[in-house]
Amino acid sequence: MTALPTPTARPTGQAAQPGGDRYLLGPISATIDCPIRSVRDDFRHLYGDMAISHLQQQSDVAINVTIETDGLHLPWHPKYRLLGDGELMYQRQPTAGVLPHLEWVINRRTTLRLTSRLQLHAASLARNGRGIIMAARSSCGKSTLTAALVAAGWSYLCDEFAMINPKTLGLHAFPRALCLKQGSFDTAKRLGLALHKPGCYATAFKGPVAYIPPRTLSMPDVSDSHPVAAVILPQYRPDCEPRLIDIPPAEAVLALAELAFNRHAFGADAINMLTQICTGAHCCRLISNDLHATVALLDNLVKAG
Amino acid sequence: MGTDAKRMQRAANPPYQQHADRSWVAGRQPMPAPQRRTDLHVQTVGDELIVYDPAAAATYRLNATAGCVLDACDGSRSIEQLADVLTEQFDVSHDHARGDVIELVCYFATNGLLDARPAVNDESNSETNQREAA
Repeated sequence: MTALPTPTARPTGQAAQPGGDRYLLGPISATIDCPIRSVRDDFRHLYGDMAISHLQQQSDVAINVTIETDGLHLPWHPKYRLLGDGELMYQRQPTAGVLPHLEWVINRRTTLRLTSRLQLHAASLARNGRGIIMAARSSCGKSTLTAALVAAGWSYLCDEFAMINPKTLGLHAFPRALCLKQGSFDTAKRLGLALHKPGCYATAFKGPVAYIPPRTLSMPDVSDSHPVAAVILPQYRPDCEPRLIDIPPAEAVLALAELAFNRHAFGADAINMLTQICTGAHCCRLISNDLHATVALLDNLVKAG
Repeated sequence: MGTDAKRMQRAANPPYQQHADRSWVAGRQPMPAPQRRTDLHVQTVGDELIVYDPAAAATYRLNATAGCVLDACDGSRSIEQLADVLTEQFDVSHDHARGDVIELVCYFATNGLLDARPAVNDESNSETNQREAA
């Protein structure tokens, strides 16, 4: 295993804002209290344009990063725990794991706090005002494909969420940094996307990762609603030609329902919403391989729809 | 079999399981008239059904045949009568339809889509129930 460059850990370094830094991440405001200066700086690099003052808005989510004090820890390898609204969510994280886990804490708290949207675990993009949902579990290549689509001129809505407005059934942007795994670093560079500190951060689950700030991904305003033109279930198959296979809307409804984070909050209404979306959209399974050919397929699909 | 023994057997083998283990197929128990749960949310999507179970927060996708059988599971029809419904709506033989109905009722029961106390339209069973009640 290759050694990772480690972000500088300075638990007693430059002081953060008293009570933590506050950001307005679309419909969610989050206060982040982190003792590690490099993580604070990197988070500011990703979301600096969304920083707000403590006077502007109450915080929906409070995240605290604290250094582990119990057990035996080497002072030059500090471990951290992350708390979301006072609840312990991750612990024993090295410095290189803090930012990725901070992102996950925000995602997990968002699923609980944001009740005005049906949230799916999917990538969401838009082309000419028309949205697509790319629904798949992790490691199906949806982030890399998202990066390729953005490089081809698509609008980035979110890499982790498809945020559905229950009233309009439209997709909304949710400003989260695009997270790419090490295997996609070269691809992203070839596409002309600027990765922030590639390989500096890592998780046990994903390995080394890099982030792309949402402001560089031509993200529309979070209040813009994008009607869903297509529901795509992507599957990376290195041995196959890229192609789209039409699927029955019911298959798409079931797939989306299984990936809905807050389905419980909406109950049967979630199924009604997904049914309306899938019956009005083009539903297909995408066998992806060559990125350019795959992007061309999706371009044609949205144009034709 | 004594009352206690029956009670113990029922506890060990609840109504869902009675469907799931198909003991009634072999004639050891009266043929049930399965009844789908009334709190299920059923949505037609194309020619398929999406069934949402709010209690388990689970979602199921049923094809037209399965949807037809679930729809007909209203507690008034036996397995044979459900097979009749299937033969009326689809081009299948009664034996084939009966096999499908048995598979589907087992599937519904295993996944908790049927009422916990299915209605029974068998006279011998109603006599048994009366004896148990007495």
